[in-house]
Amino acid sequence: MKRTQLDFIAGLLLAAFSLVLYILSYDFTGYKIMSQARDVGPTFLPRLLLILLAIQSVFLIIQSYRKLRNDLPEGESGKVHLFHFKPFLLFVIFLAYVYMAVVLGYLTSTFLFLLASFFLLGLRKLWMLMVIPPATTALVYLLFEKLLGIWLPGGILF
Amino acid sequence: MVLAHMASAFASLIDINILLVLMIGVPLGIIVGVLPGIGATVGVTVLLPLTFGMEPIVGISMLVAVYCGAFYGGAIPAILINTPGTPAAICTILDGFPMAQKGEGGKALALAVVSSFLGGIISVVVLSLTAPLIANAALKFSYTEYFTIAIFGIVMVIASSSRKSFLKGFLMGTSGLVLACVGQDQMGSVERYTFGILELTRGIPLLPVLVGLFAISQALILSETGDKKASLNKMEERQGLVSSFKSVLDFKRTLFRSSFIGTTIGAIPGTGAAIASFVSYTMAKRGSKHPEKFGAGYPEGVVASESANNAVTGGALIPLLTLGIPGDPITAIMLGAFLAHGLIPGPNLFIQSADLVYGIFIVMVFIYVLTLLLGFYGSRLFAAVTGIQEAILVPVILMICFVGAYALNSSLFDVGLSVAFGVLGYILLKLDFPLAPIVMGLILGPIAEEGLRQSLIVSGGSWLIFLHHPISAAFLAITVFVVFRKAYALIFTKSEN
Repeated sequence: MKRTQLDFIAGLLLAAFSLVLYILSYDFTGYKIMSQARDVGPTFLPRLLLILLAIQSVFLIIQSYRKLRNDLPEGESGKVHLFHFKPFLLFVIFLAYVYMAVVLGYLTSTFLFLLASFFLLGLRKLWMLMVIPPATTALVYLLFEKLLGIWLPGGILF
Repeated sequence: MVLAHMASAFASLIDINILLVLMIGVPLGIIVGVLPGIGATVGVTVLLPLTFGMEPIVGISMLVAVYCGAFYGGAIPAILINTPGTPAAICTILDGFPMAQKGEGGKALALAVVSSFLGGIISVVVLSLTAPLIANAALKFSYTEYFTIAIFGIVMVIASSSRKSFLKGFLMGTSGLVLACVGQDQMGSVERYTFGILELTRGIPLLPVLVGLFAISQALILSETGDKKASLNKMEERQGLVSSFKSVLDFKRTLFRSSFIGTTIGAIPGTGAAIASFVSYTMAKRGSKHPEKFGAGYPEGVVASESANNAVTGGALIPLLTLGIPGDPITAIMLGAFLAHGLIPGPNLFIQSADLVYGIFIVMVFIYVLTLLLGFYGSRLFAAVTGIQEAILVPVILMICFVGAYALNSSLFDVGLSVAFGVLGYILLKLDFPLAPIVMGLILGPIAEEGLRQSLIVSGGSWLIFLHHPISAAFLAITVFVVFRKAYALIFTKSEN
C-alpha cells in the first residue's frame, strides 16, 4: 500500500478518534460540582486538545489527498508493507504466551514461548533450541523471583 | 555546599550492591549499544523491571550505567562494521570506519572509548555544578513556569523527532496529551475516559506504554528482517591506554568544545546525542587545521563525535533531575524508574533526597571509569556480540517485556496495555509517525494541565499571566517561534522539510 494512502486513512481515523472523544467528554461525571469558581474545569484541556487534534488530522487528510490526486511517484520508500508474516505470527505467539502464563504459569509458558519463537524466527540448531530456552527460563526465575523478589504469574503448573 | 553533599552521598554509596550493579550494568549497556536496532532506549526499558526489587540508588545506578555504557557501545559496530549501534554513533562512522578499513580499527576504538570517558566525565562535572543551581532557581518556579516549560519540552521533542513530517510529530504529541487526560482529574475527582476500568482511574500507567512503544514495537520490527551476518574489520594490536589518552589530548580543543556542546545540547529537551554528535563533528571540522582529512579516517572526527555523544548523558539529566522534565525517551524511562521507587524528580528532590541525587553524580564517574576499562580491554569481546542472531534476541526481549510490564503492579492489565501499545508503536513506526512525542505528551500532560489551570485560577482567567512571568514568557516565545516556523513550512512550501 502507498504511504500516502495509509496517511489518508490515519488522518480519517485520528479525526474520528477526536470526534468520538469530544462527544464522550460530555459524559464526564460530576465536573460541575467539583469545579472551582475560576477554574477552567476538567473538560477544558481535553476538548481544546481534541479540537487541535481534529484540525491536524484534517491537515493530514488534505496533505495526503493532494498527493494522491496529483499521483506523484513515491518510489520504493513510498510503499509500506504493513503486514508481515513473521511479526504477525510472533505477535500471535506472544499473545498466547501472555494467556498461557496465567493458565499454565509463567515459567512453563516462557519455556514454550522461547522454543516456539526461536523456531519461527529461523533458529534451527538443535543444541541452541535445547539449551537456550530452559537456561533462559531458569535465569529469569532465579533473577526475578529468587534474587529480586519480583512475583511472577503462577498457573496450574509453575 | 555541593562538596558537603558529595561527601555525605559518598558515604551512602559504600555498598557492595552498587558496585555489583555497575559491574553488570556497564557491560550490559555496552552490549545493547553494540547491537544495532536495540540501543539505549530498548536496553533501559527492558532492564527497568530488574530495578524494582532494588534500593532506589542501586536501581537507578544500574539504569544510568546501561544508559552511559550504551552510548559508547554504539561506536563499536560503527567503527568495525559501518553500522551505528545507536543513532548517536552515526558521525563516528564517518572517520571510525575508514580508520578500520585502513587497519586502524583498534586505534579508532581506543580513541572512541577514551573520548567517551573524557566527554562523559566533563558532562558529569558540568551536571554536578549546574544542576544544584538550576534546582535552587526552580524552587521559585510557579505553576505558570511549569506549564510553559512542559509545553516547550513537548514542542522541542516534536520538532526534533519529526524529521520526515512535523505534522505527524504534532499529531503524536497532541495524542499523547489527550492520553494524559485519561483518569481522575488532578484538581477534582472527575473521571475522564476511564470507561469504568478501575486500573485507568489513576491515568494510563507510564511503564507499560514505554515497554510497548519502545521495546515490543522494536522487537516486532526486528523480527521482520532475516539474520544478517556482519563482517568485522580485523583489529590490529592497539596502543596502550596512556598512549590513547595522549592521542585524544592531541585534539584537546575539539575534545573540550565537543564535550560542552554535547552537555549543552543534551540539556535541551528534544535534542539528543545524534544532534550533539552532528553539531560537534561539524564544528570540529570547521575549526580543524586539517578539515580536508575529515571523513577519510581522521582521529579528530572520532574524538569530536564520541566525546559529544557521551557528554549528552550528563546534560540530559539536568532537566530531568532539576525540573522533573525528561528531554528524550531514555530520560522518560528514567523518570518512570524514579516514580516506581516513589521519588519525584524536580527541585525538591535536591532537598528531600540529596544523598540520592549527589550519589548519582558520583556513580556516573565510576560508570565512566568502568566504561573506559571495560571498553578498552574488552573491545574485542564486545565486538563479537554483533554476531548474536536476531532470532535469539527478539524472543528474549519480548520475554523481558512481559516481566517489565507485569512486575511493578503485578497486573495483567498492564501487560495487555503494553501489548496494545506495542502493536500501535509497530504500526506508527511503519507509517513514519514518531513515538517520542506520544510519551512526552503522556508525561508532561499532567504537569501542563495543572500548571494551566492553577495559573488561570491565580490570574482570574487572564491568559496574560504567562507573559507576565519573564521565564515563562521566554519559553513561550521560543515555543511559538518553533511552532510558527514549522507551521509556515507546512502550509506555504511544497515540502515541509
